[in-house]
Amino acid sequence: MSRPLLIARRAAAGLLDAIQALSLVFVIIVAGIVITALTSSNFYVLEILVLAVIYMQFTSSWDVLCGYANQDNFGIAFFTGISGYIAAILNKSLAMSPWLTVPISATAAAAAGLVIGWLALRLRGPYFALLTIVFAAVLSKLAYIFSHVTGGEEGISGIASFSRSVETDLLVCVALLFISVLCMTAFARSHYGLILRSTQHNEDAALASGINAAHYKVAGFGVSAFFAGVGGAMFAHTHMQVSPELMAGSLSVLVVLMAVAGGRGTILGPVLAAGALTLFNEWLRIIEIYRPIIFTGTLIVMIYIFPSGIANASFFARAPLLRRLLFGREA
Amino acid sequence: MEILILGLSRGSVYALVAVGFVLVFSVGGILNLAHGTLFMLGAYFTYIYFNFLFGQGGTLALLASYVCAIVSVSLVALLLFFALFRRKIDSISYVMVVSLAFALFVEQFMKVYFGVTSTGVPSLVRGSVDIFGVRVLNKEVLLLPISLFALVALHMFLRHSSAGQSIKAVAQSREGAILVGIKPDRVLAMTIAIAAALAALAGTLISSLVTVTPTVWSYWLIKAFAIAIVGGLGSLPGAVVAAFLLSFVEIATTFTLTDQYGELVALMIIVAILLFRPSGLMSSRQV
Repeated sequence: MSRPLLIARRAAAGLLDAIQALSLVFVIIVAGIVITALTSSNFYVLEILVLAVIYMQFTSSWDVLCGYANQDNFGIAFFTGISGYIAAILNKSLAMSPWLTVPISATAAAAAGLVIGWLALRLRGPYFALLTIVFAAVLSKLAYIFSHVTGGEEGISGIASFSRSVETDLLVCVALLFISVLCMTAFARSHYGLILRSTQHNEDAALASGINAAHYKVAGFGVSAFFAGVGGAMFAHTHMQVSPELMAGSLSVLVVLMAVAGGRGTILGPVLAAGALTLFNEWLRIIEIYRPIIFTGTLIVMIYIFPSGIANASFFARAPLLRRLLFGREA
Repeated sequence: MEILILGLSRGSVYALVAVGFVLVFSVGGILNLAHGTLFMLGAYFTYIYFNFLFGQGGTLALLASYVCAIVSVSLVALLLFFALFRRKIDSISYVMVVSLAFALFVEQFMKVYFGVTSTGVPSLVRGSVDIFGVRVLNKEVLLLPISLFALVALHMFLRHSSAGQSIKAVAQSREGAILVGIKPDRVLAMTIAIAAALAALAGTLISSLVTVTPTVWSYWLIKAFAIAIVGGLGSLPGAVVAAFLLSFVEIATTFTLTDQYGELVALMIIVAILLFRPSGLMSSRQV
C-alpha cells in the first residue's frame, strides 16, 4: 500500500477511535448549543455562547500540546493573534470569504507553530515559558510598529462574519469546535500523544528507546498552533474585528489558567472548564463592578483546591463511570 | 552621555527587581511570576500610605510611606507564600500558574479601586542637576546610589550574617542544608520576603518617575524574567550585569530609533540568547 494511503487510513482509524471515545457530556453540550442556536433568538445568549465556544477552542488547543508534554506555553496569544490578523487582512483587503480565510490563517499559525516548536526544542521549564512569552510580546510590538497594516491600538474592524445571522455563526463555530476536539482527541490518543506524555516523564528514556522526540514535539506544536489559529480566525469572523487584545499577554494567561483549572492532559477537562468559566464570568455581570475580582479570585481558589485540575482530581479517579461520561474513554 | 546616565539609573532599578527574582529561584527552585505584581504593589502602597495615611505631608511623611510600603509588600509576599505556594511547592508549573492567577487578581483589584488611569506620587527631591553637560532630573540621579546601596547591603547580608549564610546554604544544596539543621521552608519564606522588599523598593523609587497603572506588572515581570535568564538563572552577579546591559541596549535604541523599537530590540536579544546560549551569560547556580 502506498504511503499517503496508509497515512489516510491511519488517520481515519484514529478519528473513528476518537468518536468512540468521545465524552457523552461534551456531545450533550454541543447538542444543547445547537438546539439553542436553532430555537433561541435572544441575541445576548447567542453572543455569550459564541464567546464560550471560542474559549473552549483556545484552551483545548493549549492542552493538546502543553497538557501532554507538560510544558507551559504562556504565549498561545501568538497563534490566535497571528491567525486572527491574517484572517482579518485577507478578508478586508482581498475580500476572501471566511471559508477560505479560516483554513489559510490556521495553516499560517501552524507554520509559525512549527518554527517556534523547532526553536524551542532544546528549552524546558522556565526557559520554554520565557521564549513563548517573548514571542507573543514581539508579535504585539510588531503589530504596533506596523500600525498602517494592523491598525495599531484600534485593530481592524469591519471583517465579514460567517453569515448574516448570529444563530448561523454560532452553529459554524460549534461545528468547528466539535471537529477540532475530535481531531485533537484523535491526536492525543494516537502514538503522538503517548510519546508526548513520555517526554514529560523521562525524555532520555524515550530517546534511548529510539524515539525521535523532537519530531513529536514539533508536530505537537504545529497541531496546537493550528487549532489555536482556528480559534483566532473564529474570533475575527464572529466579533467582526480584531484588536491587540487578541495577542495580548492577558489572553495567554487566561487560557493557561482556565486549562490548568480544568485539568491538563485531558482535553475535555479544559474545554468544560473554559465553557463553564466563561458563562460564570458573564453571569457575574449582575454585580458588574466586582466581576473581575470575583472571577480571578475564583480561578485562584480553583487552582488552589485542585492543583492538578478538576479532571485530574482524586474524586474522579475513584469514579471511572463519571470520568468516562465527562472526559471520554481512556486508553 | 545621556545614554550612559539614563542607562545606569534605569539599569539599577532593573537590577533590584531581577535580583529578587533570581534569589527566589535559586533558593526555592520556583519562579514567582507575581514578582512584577510585588513591584507594582510597592508603588501603589506608597501612593496609598502617602495620600490616605499621612495626608500628603512633607518629606518625612513620604519617607515613612516608603518604609511602610516596603514592609507591607513583604507581608503580602509572605502571605502569598504561606497561603498559596506552599501547597505544591515542588511543582514549578503549579507555582507559575498560581502566581500568575494572583497577579491577574491584583490587577483587577487595582483596576476596580484605583481605576485604569495612572497614579503618581510626588518625588523625594525636586529640580535637576548638570552632569557632564547633561541635564538630569534629581530623582533620576537618586536611583543609582540607593539601588547600589541596597544591592551591597544584600551582598553583605548574604555573606556575613548567619541568616544570609543559611540562604546560601539552601541555594547550594537543599539536602545538605537540612542535614545541618536549617529549615528550608523558613529560609525560603525569608528569601521571598527579602525579594519582595527589593521589588517594592524599586517600585517606590520609580513611583514618582513613571506612571503606574494596574497593568504595569507584566512589563516588569518580563523584564525581570528576561534579565534572570540572560544573566543565567541562579546567578546574582549575572543578573546585575544583565540588568545594566539590557537597560543600555534599550536606552541606546530608544535614543537612536524610537521607543517602540527599543523594546523590540531588547526582546530580540532575549530570543537570541535563549536560542544560542540558554544557560545565560554567567551560568552557574551560585548566590
